[in-house]
Amino acid sequence: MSKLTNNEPSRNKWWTYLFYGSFLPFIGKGISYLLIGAPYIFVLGILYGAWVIYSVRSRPFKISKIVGNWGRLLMLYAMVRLVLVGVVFSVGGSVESAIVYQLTPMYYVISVVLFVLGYFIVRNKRLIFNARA
Amino acid sequence: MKRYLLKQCCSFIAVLPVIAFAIQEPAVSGGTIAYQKELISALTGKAAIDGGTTFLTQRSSPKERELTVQYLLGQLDKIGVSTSEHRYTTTNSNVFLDLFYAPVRGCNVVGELRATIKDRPYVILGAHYDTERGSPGAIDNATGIALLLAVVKKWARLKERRLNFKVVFFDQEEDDEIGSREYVKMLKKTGIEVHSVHVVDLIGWDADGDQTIALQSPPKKVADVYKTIGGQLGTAIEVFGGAASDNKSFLEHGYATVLVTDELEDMTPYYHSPNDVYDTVDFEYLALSSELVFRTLKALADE
Repeated sequence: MSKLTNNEPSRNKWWTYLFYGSFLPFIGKGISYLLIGAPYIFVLGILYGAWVIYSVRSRPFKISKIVGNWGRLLMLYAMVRLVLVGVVFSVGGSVESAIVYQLTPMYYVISVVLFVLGYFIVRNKRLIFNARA
Repeated sequence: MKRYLLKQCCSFIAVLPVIAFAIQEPAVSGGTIAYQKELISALTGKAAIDGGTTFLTQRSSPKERELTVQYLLGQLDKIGVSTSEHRYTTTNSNVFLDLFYAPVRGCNVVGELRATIKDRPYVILGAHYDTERGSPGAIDNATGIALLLAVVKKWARLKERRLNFKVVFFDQEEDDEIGSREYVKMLKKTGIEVHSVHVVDLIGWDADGDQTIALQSPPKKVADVYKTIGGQLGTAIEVFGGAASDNKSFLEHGYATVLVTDELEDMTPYYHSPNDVYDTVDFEYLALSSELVFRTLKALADE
């Protein structure tokens, strides 16, 4: 029992890092679009990030709820990515080549990784930020 | 004796115009046809694009388009044209796609020949080099590329060039003209004076053999010159409205633009299909169209 208690802070720390890390692909996407004059993804990210930071600091909601929602959002995002593949292949020739040629093996890997990440964030939402509340 | 010599001289002078006509360069030269056959065979996978083992079966994926870019730069270098790459990154066609996909990347290939006199505007000659997925794109639009290269080759040989000349090979025309739209954005920022823009797309099919060439939405002055030159070459010019290719990007920004293309009622039946191959190209018609564009540009420059 004492062993379990000793390991817990370390485990929580890693889950918290993973939670932060899950924002990185979206920060990268936001910046890449910002650089070409399309700021909406970046602005959306800033607004969501600001809301998360506010929620963590001021705790108007349970932190585990905020973390869990982010995890679910990640899973939904990954699922939409995979559903879009089906849509692209069912629509066929009329889809832009610029889209079709992005459906590389890396696209599927990223989708699956995001889904798994979202799943683990939801499952371990109480460990992130030591959010037992 | 004097009378005999005089008579001989007179007869010689009399036949001079006939000799001159006989040695005059024909409207369609065998050299142009051979050159364009070589280009289109490389662009459609009939021959290796790098002279080795790389064959292009289409020009649609990022890798195939990059190979085409390098090939076009090489061809322009051979002619002695100064070259540049206009690489761009832009958004997808809507915000939803941006959320799930990376930005679109492409490259327009630009060649430039300066006028031999100062302070002259630019004439832009453009054609797209990408193809629809699954199509070798012989007529759509290796023929456009071959026309441009034949014209720029002749233009480079002129002793006096009275217009600055840009030749642009556009990327991603098959994706809502992304390449030309990005090129026009860049062109507007440079603020250079543009005399006229001539876009070439689908110019290698003439099943009815009437050698009619079509112009889409040309400014009247430009159409008149095309018609005059067409008359000299013995080809009919058909004019119709709208914007169906990269000419749309230029027309939207108010540039004097014309699309040079096949006759509307006599288009390739293999459009966007795997059968749009080398063997379907009418090279005589393509060379004639090339001559029409070259002579028209020269006439416009000399005005």
